[in-house]
Amino acid sequence: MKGKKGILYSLGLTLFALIILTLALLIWKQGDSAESHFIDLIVAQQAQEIQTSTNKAFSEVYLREGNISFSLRETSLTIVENFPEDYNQLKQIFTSLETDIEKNFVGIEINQEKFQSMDGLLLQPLNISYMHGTQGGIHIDQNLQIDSYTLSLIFGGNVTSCTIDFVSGGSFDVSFSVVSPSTNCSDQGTNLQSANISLIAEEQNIYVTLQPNGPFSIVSNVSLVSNLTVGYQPTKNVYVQLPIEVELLESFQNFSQKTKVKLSLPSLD
Amino acid sequence: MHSLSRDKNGFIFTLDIILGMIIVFIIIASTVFFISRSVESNLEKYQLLILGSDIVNILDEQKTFDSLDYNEIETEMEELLPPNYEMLLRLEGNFSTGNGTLEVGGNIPLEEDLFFGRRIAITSNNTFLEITYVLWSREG
Repeated sequence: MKGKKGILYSLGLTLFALIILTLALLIWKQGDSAESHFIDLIVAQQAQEIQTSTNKAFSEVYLREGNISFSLRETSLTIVENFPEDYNQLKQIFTSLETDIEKNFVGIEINQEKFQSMDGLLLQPLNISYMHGTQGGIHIDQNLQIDSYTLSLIFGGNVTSCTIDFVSGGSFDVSFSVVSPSTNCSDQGTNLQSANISLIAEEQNIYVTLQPNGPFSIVSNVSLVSNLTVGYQPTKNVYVQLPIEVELLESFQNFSQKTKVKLSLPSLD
Repeated sequence: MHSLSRDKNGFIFTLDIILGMIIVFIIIASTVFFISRSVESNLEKYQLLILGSDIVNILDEQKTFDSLDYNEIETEMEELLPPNYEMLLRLEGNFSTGNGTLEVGGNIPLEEDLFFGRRIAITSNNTFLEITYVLWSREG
């Protein structure tokens, strides 16, 4: 009887020992897995840093060389820039930056074709585009989130003619003003369907147009300062993005990530 | 007599198992010890990498790299570096100082495994910089 008991104890302890051994193996395996995850974490951190710093470099150059300034709020974006705009130097710096980055960092691919052709920007997450037109000026595509435009044009030369034509029956609020040494003119309208403003300065025509459904444009080759505020539905976490794609191709972990350059702007709210 | 012999066998078998279990416990304890040490060491290395990244980011924000001056970069770097840590910064780019390479900081200890971080920076006069950095503990 006692012998049977001893054997039972022995079998029980053997089983317990096996369980402990299995546990040891599991811990060992877990350790290996943690090591592997750690290496993944390091590689991801290193790749992420290269991508983030690439975006930062483009953003810095744009804000410094772009001759443009921004005020970003939850309900509006104000852009001040000088016309006629000249983005050739900025484009050259961007091209050189792209070459340097792609030469020195394997796995980073930059696509700035859209920026080079349109030199514009996007307000996200609303997807509002602000593009420079081929004839000089600004073009904003139709976007249902936009509800108002406030435009102030400051001329160095004299404005000899100012015609403002507001058509009501829509949903846009427009406020427009011109400041020049000789003439000032301004008007504002609510619930507009469209607006056509034509000016003559330095013997050249300047057109500001709000088309039905919202596309907005300024066509000008005259030297002036444009201060445009685009009003939109209150939106949290708005940011300005350049149409420049930075793609990260990580061969070690076999992942890729594509981001667009985000401008580092302080939110004023 | 026969029963006593079986009892002895059972007793010895039990002792054998207890001895085996002691060995297994030693294995398990040493496994846990080495694994936890390795995880701690990895976390420390990761923390060093993040710290290095933060320091380079601050130096970039402060526009310290604009001067490409060894002494200025070293002074600013030392100010940000916690005590008992050393750091090496390697700046490469299209600049004339040192034929486009500038190394600031201590000598990397050969006996340690270290993680290097890399990032891009651009100076105020649009000089492209490739920055490589590494941090290590002075005692280590």
